[in-house]
Amino acid sequence: MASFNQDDAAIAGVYAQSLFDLAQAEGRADDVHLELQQFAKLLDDHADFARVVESPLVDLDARKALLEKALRGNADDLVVNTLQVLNRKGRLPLVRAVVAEFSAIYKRTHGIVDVVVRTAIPLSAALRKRIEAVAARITGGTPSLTEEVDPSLLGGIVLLVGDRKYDASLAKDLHEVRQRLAVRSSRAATASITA
Amino acid sequence: MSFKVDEISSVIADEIKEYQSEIDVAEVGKVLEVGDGIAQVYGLRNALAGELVTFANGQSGQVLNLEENSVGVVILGDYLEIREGDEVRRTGELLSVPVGEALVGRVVDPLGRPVDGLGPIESNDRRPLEFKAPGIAERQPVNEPMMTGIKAIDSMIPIGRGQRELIIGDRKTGKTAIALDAILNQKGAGVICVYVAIGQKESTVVQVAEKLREHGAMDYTIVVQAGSSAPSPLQYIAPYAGAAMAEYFMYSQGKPTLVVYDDLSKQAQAYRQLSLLLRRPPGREAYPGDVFYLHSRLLERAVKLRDEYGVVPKDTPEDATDRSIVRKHPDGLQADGAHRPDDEAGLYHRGEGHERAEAWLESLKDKDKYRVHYFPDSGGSMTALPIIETLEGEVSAYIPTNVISITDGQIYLEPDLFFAGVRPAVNVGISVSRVGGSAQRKGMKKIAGSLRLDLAAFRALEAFAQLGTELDPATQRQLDRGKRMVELLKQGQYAPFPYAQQVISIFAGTQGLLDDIEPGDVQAFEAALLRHVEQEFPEYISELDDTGVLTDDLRGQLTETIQNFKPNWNAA
Repeated sequence: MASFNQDDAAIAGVYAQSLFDLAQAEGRADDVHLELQQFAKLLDDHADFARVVESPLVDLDARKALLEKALRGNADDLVVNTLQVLNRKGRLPLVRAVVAEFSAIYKRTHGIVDVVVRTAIPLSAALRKRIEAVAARITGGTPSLTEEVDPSLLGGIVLLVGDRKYDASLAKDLHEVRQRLAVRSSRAATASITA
Repeated sequence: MSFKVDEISSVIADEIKEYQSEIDVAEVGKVLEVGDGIAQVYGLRNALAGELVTFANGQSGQVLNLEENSVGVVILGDYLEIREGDEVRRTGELLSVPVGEALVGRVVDPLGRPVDGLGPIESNDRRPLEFKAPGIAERQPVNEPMMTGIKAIDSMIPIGRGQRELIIGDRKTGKTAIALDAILNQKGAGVICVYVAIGQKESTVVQVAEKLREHGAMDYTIVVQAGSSAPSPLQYIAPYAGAAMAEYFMYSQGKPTLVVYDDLSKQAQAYRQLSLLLRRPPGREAYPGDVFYLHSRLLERAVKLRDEYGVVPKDTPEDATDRSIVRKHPDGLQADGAHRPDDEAGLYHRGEGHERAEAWLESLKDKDKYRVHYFPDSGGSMTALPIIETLEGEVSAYIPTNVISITDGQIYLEPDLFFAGVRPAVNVGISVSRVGGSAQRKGMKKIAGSLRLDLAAFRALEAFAQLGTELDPATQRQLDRGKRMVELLKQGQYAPFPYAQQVISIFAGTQGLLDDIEPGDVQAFEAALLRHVEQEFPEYISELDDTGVLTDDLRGQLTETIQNFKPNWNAA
């Protein structure tokens, strides 16, 4: 999901697009995408590291050295260079937005569509395959499944494709039956008043 | 009351048995932030401006802002139950309200839900809140009077059906009183009235509804209520809801309607609040740029619709509304002027439509089989009485100037007059009606012509007279006449005057027949005189009511009657 902050997203979009164009030209878009995801995960997992990367208080030169030492050789040069540029411009606090935007661009070009599958119990492998096939048909692209388990659904399945929600859960059915009963009873009540 | 468990469970079992599970496909978004009646919703990429959306807890909202990654939604109801991350779904529909006969006599909120405790409203018809005002082809000029029953207004600031007449004044100067009297006076006139209360104290609205009920006016009135405790989005949509309810009667039944918006300054403030919360750029007095359009699109919906005639087979029922039965002129729009229809369907609806239809019918060989039919659902009207509250008489503030320029005239109420006991406190000098004159009935037009000038001259002289200088007899006479006219135009609340009575009163005043009555006695004399005429000469009243004209004969008779009545009254 892209960043909610419109201004951040707009700035990050410029860096992400530049990086993507370079990576695409050199045929390394897949690697860069993967490494950026790993970098974002690193930030999520290690709060201390994230603070060093994202805090505006850290001295730029010190951070430059740190990034060089920690990443050069371990990561694709394109990724390291991008981080250094972000550092120099004081945009490292937006690094997560850049990753998100890059991911959005990458998915758009490769026809990958985010699909959230919500079920009451974890999916079996066979079911996952069938859902993937259905999702591929709906989206017309390659679905990238995210599975969520929500016991309050009771049964059935909910698919979220972009803004569209396909709800075939038992909870929805019960809710609808309840609504109908409510309408019926209010009609009966009106009839008894007017009679 | 006894519960039968078997019965209940069988109902539920039936419902479940008959239930067909279907995949529910919807476009959904997520609430990013919520507060002060506004929600920012992520997603809903395809949402349309003005579209209705529903929140997870059943609350509805209206999309007002479309941004790059999110939409701004105003929440029509309690926003405290909505949380961040809640699901919001598109409905693909625009806001609409239930309309129809079932609403008459009810007090409803701006979404058409009853708030008077009289049970649910069963209505199958709905109309969209926002409806484009009809264009010039569907209109006809204002030509029928919309009597308010208030002498000062019907004589000098006449209002016609389909007109928009602003009632403007400071707080507590009797703005609502005039609108209410206008509603009360529609009794028996077949006019459907809608009173829209925006941002008012709930206690005031209860009082208004009670007064209407007391005087039997709820039989033809709908009250739309968005009190000062209602969320600002509801106050914002309330006038549109009221207009939609009146439009039903105007468009599908051809009825005259009267809508009172009490008041539009509060509506503008509610709209300002939600515009600022939606981060729209503020303009003058912090109102958003489209605050003019807010009122102009509402008031443009007030209209006098054209009358439609057509030549139809003789056996067509009088209440037929199907336009396809109309016999079309073979030459269509190219026909000779005297017979030419006004559109492809063969309808006659511009000036002299009826005459042209008759003329064509006369020229037909088989004219015995046809007749000219008036379509009963045409010719409806919506008269709008918007109310604006000014601060310290400041009519040049933003909202008052806007609405003054949109409407066809204004009734200006002044606190000074009000506290001097002149009620209704209409300032005749700066109140105008720009189109009502052509809708005024002839008799009234004739006698009221000089009234406004007399009163204006009186006001100017009054200031002089206060200096205590000696006055020549002519001036003194003018002053005396003016004093009596002012007394004559005073009128109690909830006491609308019928047309004939108004004409007789004002006739007596403008003809100088009251000059020898003490100013303090004018009102008592007027009441006694009217009673006398009603009892002894009911034929005068019926003649005036039927023809609307004050003939020379009747003038003479009236003068004589009044002169003869004076000694009797003095004796009594």
